Amino acid sequence: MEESVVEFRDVTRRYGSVTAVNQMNLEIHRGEFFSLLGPSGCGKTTTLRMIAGFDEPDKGEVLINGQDVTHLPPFQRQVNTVFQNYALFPHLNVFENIAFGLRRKKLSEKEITKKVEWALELVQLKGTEKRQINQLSGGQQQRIALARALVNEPEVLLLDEPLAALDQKLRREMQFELKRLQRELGVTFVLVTHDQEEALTMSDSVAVICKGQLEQVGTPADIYNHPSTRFVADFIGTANFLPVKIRQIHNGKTTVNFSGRDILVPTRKGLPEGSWADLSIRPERIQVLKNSAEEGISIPGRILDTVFMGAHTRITVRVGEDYVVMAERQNQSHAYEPEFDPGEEVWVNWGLSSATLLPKSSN
Amino acid sequence: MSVPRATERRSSWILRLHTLLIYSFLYAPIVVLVLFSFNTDRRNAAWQGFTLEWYVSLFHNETVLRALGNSLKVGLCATFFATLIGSLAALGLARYQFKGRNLLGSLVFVPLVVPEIVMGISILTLFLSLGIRLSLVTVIMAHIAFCISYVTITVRTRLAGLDPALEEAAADLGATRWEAFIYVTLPQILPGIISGALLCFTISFDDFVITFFNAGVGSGTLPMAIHSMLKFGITPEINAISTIMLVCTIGSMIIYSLIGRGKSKK
Repeated sequence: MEESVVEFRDVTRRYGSVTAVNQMNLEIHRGEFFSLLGPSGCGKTTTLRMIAGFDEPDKGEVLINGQDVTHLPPFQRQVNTVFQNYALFPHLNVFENIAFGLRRKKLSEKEITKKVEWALELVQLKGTEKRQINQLSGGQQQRIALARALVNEPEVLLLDEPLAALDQKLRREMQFELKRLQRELGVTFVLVTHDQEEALTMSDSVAVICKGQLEQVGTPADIYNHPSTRFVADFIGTANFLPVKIRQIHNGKTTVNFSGRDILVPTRKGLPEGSWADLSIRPERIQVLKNSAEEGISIPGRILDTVFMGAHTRITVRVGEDYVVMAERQNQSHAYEPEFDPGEEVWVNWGLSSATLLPKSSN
Repeated sequence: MSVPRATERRSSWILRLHTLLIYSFLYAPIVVLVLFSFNTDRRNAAWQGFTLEWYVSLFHNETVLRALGNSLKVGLCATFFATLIGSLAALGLARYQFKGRNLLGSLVFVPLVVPEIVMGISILTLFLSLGIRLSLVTVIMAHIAFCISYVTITVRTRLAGLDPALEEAAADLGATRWEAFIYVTLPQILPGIISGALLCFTISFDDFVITFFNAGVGSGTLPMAIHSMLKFGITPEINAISTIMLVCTIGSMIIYSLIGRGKSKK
């Protein structure tokens, strides 16, 4: 797992005055499912295109298998791409679409037939060889695009928002399918997506990108539980942010001040005493209680609203001077759940380790 | 479905008559021309009986045959070169970023709106000032010049509808730029190229004005032959030639629209 198959060294790509990718350093390990996650226009697709060879960096180096491929054209790279709109060749049938890459390698007809059959079996579309592309459904086209790429046994499979065009149900199915293929073949998958849920459920590693900068790389649990910036905390799932001032750092514990009240939080490096920071807490980690609890951290507040959302109930509470905290409570019929009225005085409670200190961001 | 009211019914009746009149005005002369090419009466006035005599006599008329030969030579040569040059121009305009691209792109349309007579005279002036003697070659060159625009426009339309990711997909699968062009781009834009070629041939085949200015001795085309035959009045032979030209042109337009329909289906 530790051997890196794709590596970016200080890669910068500009389009005119816009910097799409800024001094990016990235390492993708062999055999992992890697996601590039970010809002649209953040540079994730440019990153993918530089791995594929459709785009060249202005500065820096791109390495595949330790070899510098920065200026190598796409047809000489051991990577294959599944395009956003599949980009299947409309004038060729299913067989010829999948065979396209094999024919360029001048394989014998017998080998080509064998490999195409293997690829079709892989994506569970045997028997569609003679079909025209426009006779296939969106989901089937997606599978053919996968087969066309995988049949070339690439070092890395690049997927550019491949599920964006599918409906919700089909997307779930394909997420599962992609994960299965990746495990079965052991090929490195690099997925570009703006859908944080997709990235979390499928990936071994996620790279969160914002404005051409790498914000954080880590396992899904890592970036969800320990976001390193406010952007990551905000983009992955939902988070409450409370502005706090660092009062004291002592014995690995940090005391911060929120609206005149001292609270204990886990320490974070790089935030000196006296500086301002954001305290991030996930809604599902927050409990709303009638009385102050012994355990964890409690601050007083006043109920704003309670909204029933099916599987859970969302409770919003006003805390401090004028901040709103959102809590999510699972609706379990067997457990006792107190009811709240708007305006009621309550306590907002969370476990010490559920809060994360984040540096104040400029955006 | 509601039952149409009386006023609606009357207006639809008027509408039908109106449509009939317009289409008669457009097509009756052509129908009459085709019919009279099979008429035994030489004076072209009343229907006397069916004959193929005029077609037979056409194929014994050396002037007409030579003009037809010239027309085919000019049409085929002009189509070949205009299609080649026009397609390459379209590819260049669509695929490369360079200075003056937008200007060049717009200039392609200009020959379509320049009055034909101006075009004819300007090409003639060019030949004269270069000291080139008028011949069949000058006709072909003139035809290539005004046909290029049509090809460039049809091919460019086709290229505009082409997903650029297709060429990237080809490169991604190991195709060199040349292979990507041959195996992916060319098959995709081929209908556009064929449409452009058919359009070229049709336009070249019935061009009179530009040909008239740039033809040398003995290099007259079919429309020019018809023009000189008209000096003796409209004869059934003229009707017969016109019918043949009509069949050629309509034939290629039908192929053109069939290709167009194949394109829109995708």
